[in-house]
Amino acid sequence: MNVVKDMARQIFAGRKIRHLRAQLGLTQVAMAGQLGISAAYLNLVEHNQRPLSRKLQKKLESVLPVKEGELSGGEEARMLSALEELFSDPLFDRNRPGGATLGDFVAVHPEICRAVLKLYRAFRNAREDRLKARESLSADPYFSDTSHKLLTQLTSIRSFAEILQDNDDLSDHQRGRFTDVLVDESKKLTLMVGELFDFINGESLESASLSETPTDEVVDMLSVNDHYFPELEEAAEQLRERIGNPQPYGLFDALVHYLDEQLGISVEIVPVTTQPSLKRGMWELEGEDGGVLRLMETLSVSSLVFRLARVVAEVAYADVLEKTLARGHVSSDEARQLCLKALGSYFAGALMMPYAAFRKAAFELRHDIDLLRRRFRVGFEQVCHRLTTLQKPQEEGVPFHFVRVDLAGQISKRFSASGLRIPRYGVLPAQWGVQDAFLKPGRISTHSMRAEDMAIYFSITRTVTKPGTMVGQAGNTFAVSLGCEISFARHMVYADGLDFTHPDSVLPPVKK
Amino acid sequence: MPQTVLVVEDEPHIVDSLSFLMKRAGFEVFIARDGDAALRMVESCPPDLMLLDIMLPRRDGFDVLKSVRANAAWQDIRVILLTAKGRDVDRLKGMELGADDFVTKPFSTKEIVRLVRQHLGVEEKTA
Repeated sequence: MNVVKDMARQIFAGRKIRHLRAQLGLTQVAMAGQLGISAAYLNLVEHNQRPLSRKLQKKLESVLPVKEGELSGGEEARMLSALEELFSDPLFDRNRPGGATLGDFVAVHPEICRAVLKLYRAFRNAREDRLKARESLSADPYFSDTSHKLLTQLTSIRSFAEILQDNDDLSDHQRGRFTDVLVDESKKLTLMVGELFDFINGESLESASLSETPTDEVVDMLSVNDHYFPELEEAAEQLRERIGNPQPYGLFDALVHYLDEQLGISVEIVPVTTQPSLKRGMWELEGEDGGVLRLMETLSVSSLVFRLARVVAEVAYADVLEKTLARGHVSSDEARQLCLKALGSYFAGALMMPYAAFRKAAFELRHDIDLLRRRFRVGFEQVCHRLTTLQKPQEEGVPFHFVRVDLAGQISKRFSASGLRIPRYGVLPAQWGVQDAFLKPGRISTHSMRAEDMAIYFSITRTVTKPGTMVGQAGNTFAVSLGCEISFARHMVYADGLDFTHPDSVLPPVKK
Repeated sequence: MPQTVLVVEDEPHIVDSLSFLMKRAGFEVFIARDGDAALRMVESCPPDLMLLDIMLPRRDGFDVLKSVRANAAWQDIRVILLTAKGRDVDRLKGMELGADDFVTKPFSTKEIVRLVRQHLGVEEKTA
């Protein structure tokens, strides 16, 4: 290490001393006199012919405008190494300066070297970001699917155009048929290019998604349908009638009875000590066509009912779920399964909170979530989720956004009808105040914020905890947030007292 | 007796154009819309040449090619792969698995006819 330091001191000190002496306007003779050495020796030091001793370094530091240790050359050595790395980049293939030139440059213009290195680091980061973006884009199922379709259409168009051009002896029938194909394929191509432009302009993010994961596809599928599925609402209404329109507290028994009588599935509530544990954590269904549905005793009543309703959806209304799914576009089997699960959950929500009655109650009770929970015997998250689905044309509810995050701010559920743009990836910005709910577990807190689009949004947030599946296992806790654009906040009891005539006044004070 | 070409492709319009081109060039044409159907046809009536698309439903073109090359009785079948532009890796993989040639989509009709003739040792017709 000392050898390296000594070499650095020797390489850079000479050039630097010469440069600084010239800046001071001193001759070698004059400065040598001040240092108490001969001019010839100083000349040798300046040309790196003699090592710079620690004693001489100290003396130089008292004569020259440098800080203590600046002549040691350590920083210059690091800079030279960084510059050499910089110029080894293929970018400088034909313009690579030699080591001596770089050494001179580092010694004489360290500030410029620092700036160049800073610029190069920024360039390298930008280049890496671009490569990452290109990689994720090339792996995007939308792009691979679209490019395949484009190629197929282009192949058809080119083939038939050349056939028409090269074959004068085609019959009228053949000519007409091939021309029809050309027109047909050209139309499809035009449509596809239009979609591609919309996609590039970000206008059809929902329909032609940037779907990176199957979960993204579920979110996109819900968004494309504005989070409202009339077929599932109708199916849930139909089931309610079939099981005798039970009151919320009678729904559990009614579903257990329906599963047993109509679908041949018996329901068992099993103790948490059951071994081996249930296949799907909190529940399992053994046998599809008749069988046993086992549910963990730790589930709340609302979760039990929800699970029963989802099984009914998956078994008795599978055709409706499939038909609903067929309206959208999913790229993989995993995404398809997740979408079917989401649609089953939608059905369960619609059964437990019938559209008309729930919407009426929501406005009457001014979206007081606790009162809605009690009226429909459901959970906090279930109410928030159902509120986002009140999108029936002409009978809409408040356009809400809904987001669920974990302690680290990772988003696990998101939907927005309010206009608020929820990030597709990563964590939720702290400014949204959602994570603050973890500081007051189980209590509702309110929050207002101005988003990037300059609109102001009002939201309520509360933690929800999913029970563990084993004795002693803590459940998972999430923060759930439900919000709307500030002009709709008057429909929420939680916004009472806010001055809507001066929307800015609802924003939290800026921290100084 | 005319030589036979099996077109293995799922896109109806491309099947239509390839079928037209091959018939015009004097070959007898058979069509399979997926990989499984292609293998059934090869088994029942081995063609002289296959125009084999890679992206097929159920069993892809690579799988079909592997099965064809795994059977000693089918070694004489010429296989021309239809690959997508920009998918060099497919072309390399296809040649590795024993394809005789490849054509990149969107292909030139003259080029594909020329290649088929070349592989089947048929002289080009003079106009």
